[in-house]
Amino acid sequence: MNVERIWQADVQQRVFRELVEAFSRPGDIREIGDCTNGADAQRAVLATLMDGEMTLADPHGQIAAADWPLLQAKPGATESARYIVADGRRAPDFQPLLGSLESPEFGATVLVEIDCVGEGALTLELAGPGVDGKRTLCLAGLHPDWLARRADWVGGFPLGVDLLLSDARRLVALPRTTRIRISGEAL
Amino acid sequence: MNAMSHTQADNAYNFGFLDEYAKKEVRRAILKAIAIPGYQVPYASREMPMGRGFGTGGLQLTLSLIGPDEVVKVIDQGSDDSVNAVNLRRFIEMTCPGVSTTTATTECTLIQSRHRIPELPLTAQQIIVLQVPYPDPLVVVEPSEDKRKIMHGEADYSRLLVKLYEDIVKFDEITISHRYPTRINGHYVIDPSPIPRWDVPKLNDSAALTLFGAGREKKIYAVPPHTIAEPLAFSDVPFRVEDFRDEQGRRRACARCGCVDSFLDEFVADSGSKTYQCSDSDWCDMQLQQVKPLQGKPA
Amino acid sequence: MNKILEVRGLSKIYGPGCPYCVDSTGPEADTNLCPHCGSVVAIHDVSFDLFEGEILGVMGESGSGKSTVVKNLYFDQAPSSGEAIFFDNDKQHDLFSLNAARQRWLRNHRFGMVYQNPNLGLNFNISAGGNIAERLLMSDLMDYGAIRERAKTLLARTEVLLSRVDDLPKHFSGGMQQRVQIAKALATQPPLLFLDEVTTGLDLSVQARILDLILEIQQELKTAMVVVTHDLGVIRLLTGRAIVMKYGRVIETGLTDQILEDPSTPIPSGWWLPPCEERSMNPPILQVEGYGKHFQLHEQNKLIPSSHNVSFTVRAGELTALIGPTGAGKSSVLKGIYRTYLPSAGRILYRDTMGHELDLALASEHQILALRRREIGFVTQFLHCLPRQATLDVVAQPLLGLGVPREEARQRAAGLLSAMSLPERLWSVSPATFSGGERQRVNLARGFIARPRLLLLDEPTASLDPATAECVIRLIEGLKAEGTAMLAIFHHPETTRRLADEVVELTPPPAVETLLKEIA
Repeated sequence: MNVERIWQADVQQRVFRELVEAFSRPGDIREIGDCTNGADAQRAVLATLMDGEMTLADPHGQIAAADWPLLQAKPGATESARYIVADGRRAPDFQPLLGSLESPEFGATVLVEIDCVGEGALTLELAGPGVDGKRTLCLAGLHPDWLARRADWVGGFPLGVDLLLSDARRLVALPRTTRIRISGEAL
Repeated sequence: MNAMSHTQADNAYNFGFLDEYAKKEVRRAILKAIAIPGYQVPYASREMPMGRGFGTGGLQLTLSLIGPDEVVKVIDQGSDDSVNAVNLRRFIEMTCPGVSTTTATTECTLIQSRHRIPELPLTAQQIIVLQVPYPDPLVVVEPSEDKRKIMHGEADYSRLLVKLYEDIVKFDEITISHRYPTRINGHYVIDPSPIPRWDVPKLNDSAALTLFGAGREKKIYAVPPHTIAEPLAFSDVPFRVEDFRDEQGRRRACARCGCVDSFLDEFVADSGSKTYQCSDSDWCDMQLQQVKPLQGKPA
Repeated sequence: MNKILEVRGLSKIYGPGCPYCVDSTGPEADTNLCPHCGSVVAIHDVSFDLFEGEILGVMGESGSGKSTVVKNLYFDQAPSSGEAIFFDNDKQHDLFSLNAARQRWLRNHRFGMVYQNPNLGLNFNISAGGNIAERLLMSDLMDYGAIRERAKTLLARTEVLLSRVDDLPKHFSGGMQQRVQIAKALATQPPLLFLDEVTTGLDLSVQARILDLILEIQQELKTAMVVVTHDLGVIRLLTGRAIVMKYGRVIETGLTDQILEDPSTPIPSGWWLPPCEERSMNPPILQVEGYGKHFQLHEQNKLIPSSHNVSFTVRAGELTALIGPTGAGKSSVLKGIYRTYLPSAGRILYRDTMGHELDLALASEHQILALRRREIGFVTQFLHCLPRQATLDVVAQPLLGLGVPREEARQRAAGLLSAMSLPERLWSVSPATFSGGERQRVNLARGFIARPRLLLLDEPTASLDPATAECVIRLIEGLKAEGTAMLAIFHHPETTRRLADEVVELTPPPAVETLLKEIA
């Protein structure tokens, strides 16, 4: 039987290390297409992180029906799930968990699929932990509402959400501590 | 079918010893720890084939991170060759086929360490995992974990700062030598594990990611690269690292390599005389390599 | 003058509560205990205003609910209903609708509290200066020299010798502890200060000096204060306006001198007369002097000391907590009072309902059994009961012993068990099959039900989950408000801090050799 690469332990280890790099260095673009054999990046991340312990919300129907049993994650509502997968081309029409002062790790991880990570009309300037000075990030296909909603969600540190943007092959993370400016304007 | 059924079935152990479920649990905690710098993320710690307190927390992090192309360095109080370091290195070699180990800080991609951060500045290509016996700096002032979590969440460290105040009242200086409470990104205060004060500034704006694992307390926390890490102090009584000057005010040198800017261990001979040597054995070797061409033979 | 605090309809009920609670309690009913559900109506519908720079008195006898008022306002407890608005410059805070973090912020930065018991307001294990530094460090002052100067200024202002700034408050006299507490409360220059019986228990001369100090500070800093006291002297000296409380209700409100000279309601008997000496309102129920206990190991001819030279008092409506390391003989003290152990030394003076005093160490077995039935309860960590008895009957047992009809006894037992959230399906089963936490709740219910005058508690919350422990703590608070005197050992220091009015620290008894030397 031919098992797709993303379900194999060695690939998941490599994807995880790319996630470590992505979250450690917000705005740093990580290419994972080669090690996942071309599988969609968002799927590869889900395969790496999900198991029966996790709740996963899929408000935009990103996940193929056949993948759910493999992921083992419990389907959950966006307002209570630890992980959310979303289509970044659509406006975020949900309220994710932000965690609590005592347990901020319950703030959701939101996997946002967009057209392109690394190129595009939207230019962001990033600062904060993991960024040496400033870093510029270009994106295509992110609905403009996302940045405004994220600014609300991460306004009360340590509460917040951690975003992971991806296109077909690449990842970039925007954890809750990252400060974002668009073309000179603070958000 | 999930990943779990596709691991190396012919091996006695899974690669990295831990099963894939345990790794996922640790991995999710690691990512949240990086996203919330300095916050202690709880996780379900697995039983390891060694007693807790022997670095199981750090080891679980290492085993969840490690891949077949890894180059691993294990140090215990600066030394690559102590029994503890050797045992941990053997365990990693045995359970992670393909992984290579090294004592050279320049060559490794992943460092597991107890009580020291190498002298050589780490690079963006490296991750250091520190073993932590007591993760919560607030435990000395507040016995209830629920209350401590609230204090951390509100970044209310006044009771910890009072301890420093009392220290200055009694001794005219802050006397904490190891586990110096350090504030990360202006919010959470961490116990940076029993590293000496000497190593604390290395956490600030480091190129490498620093991860902390406490196996007994089941906590993981992180200082991401390029993140502000400030040892707690008063504006008029600043933080100071260990002073290695002798009675004449001269900086002591390592008796082996002659280095005058490393953290020194003190050895007292039977005669009562004291000698000093680099605590970081790899650093000491490197210094020796560099001076060898000049001196001809090592001392 | 601007209003700083507006309190409306403040109420606090301990226990499950029922539709009859309010109507069947209060001054007319001459009780704050609801006869229908057993809840204690500690305060009901308390309203008042406080203006900037004003001192308002809250007066009443023990059990009138006066302390509950400030405990609610300072967020030590949450009220059952009611509203309080705090006017802070141009901001208004609706106190009880704020989240916990905002409440803590106000408490740390805008309010000050001085407790009757300095143990509650001070950390005894850090220096006087350190106690003040802690408050200052909450507000981002990070300069050691500046913090120290401010601490010294405050201590000088409250007349604490500067040579003692680095000493531990546990080595200070009671009056000096109160001065340090006041200095700490003033550290952040709060516009609002609560003072709960701050001079009670101090010598009269010390009392007078502290009252002067409070007045001076009020005139100097224009701090608004709420002063809780049973002492007419304090009320007369400090306050311009006052409210008078009885059984949880405000029965009189107005100018202090008018209330004292020309009250509109009949003078409540007893406490209304000027107190002749400190704490005259509330004499101790139990007075232990020099208690000691040792065991004789006959086969080895050895003496094992368990408690040594322990002295303290317990008063109605107050909780005295015993603390100390394992081996300090804490449980041995409780057992000596209950006479599970025969004391080896000392006196245990108990004042019964009739006002008679007797030494429990010498009392006859008949007397002890009668007291155990009617007045003294003991809740240990373990439940002993008949193996087949239904839980409801186990809990009702002490009432039956007092002659309460079975149906009524079972009804009251049911009320208590539901207040402790023990599922109803378990009531008809024997506790023998229960989990540790469930069994402990039954044990506590049985100890509480007859509402003993003196209740001995040995780690009552040790085996409970946090939620159940919380409901037990509330029940204890309720019993206190109702006037039960308690002597307790708690597992968590936090519980001690919350409940204790008096803390007695025991140290392990010295070795036998030392004891023998002492005797010789």
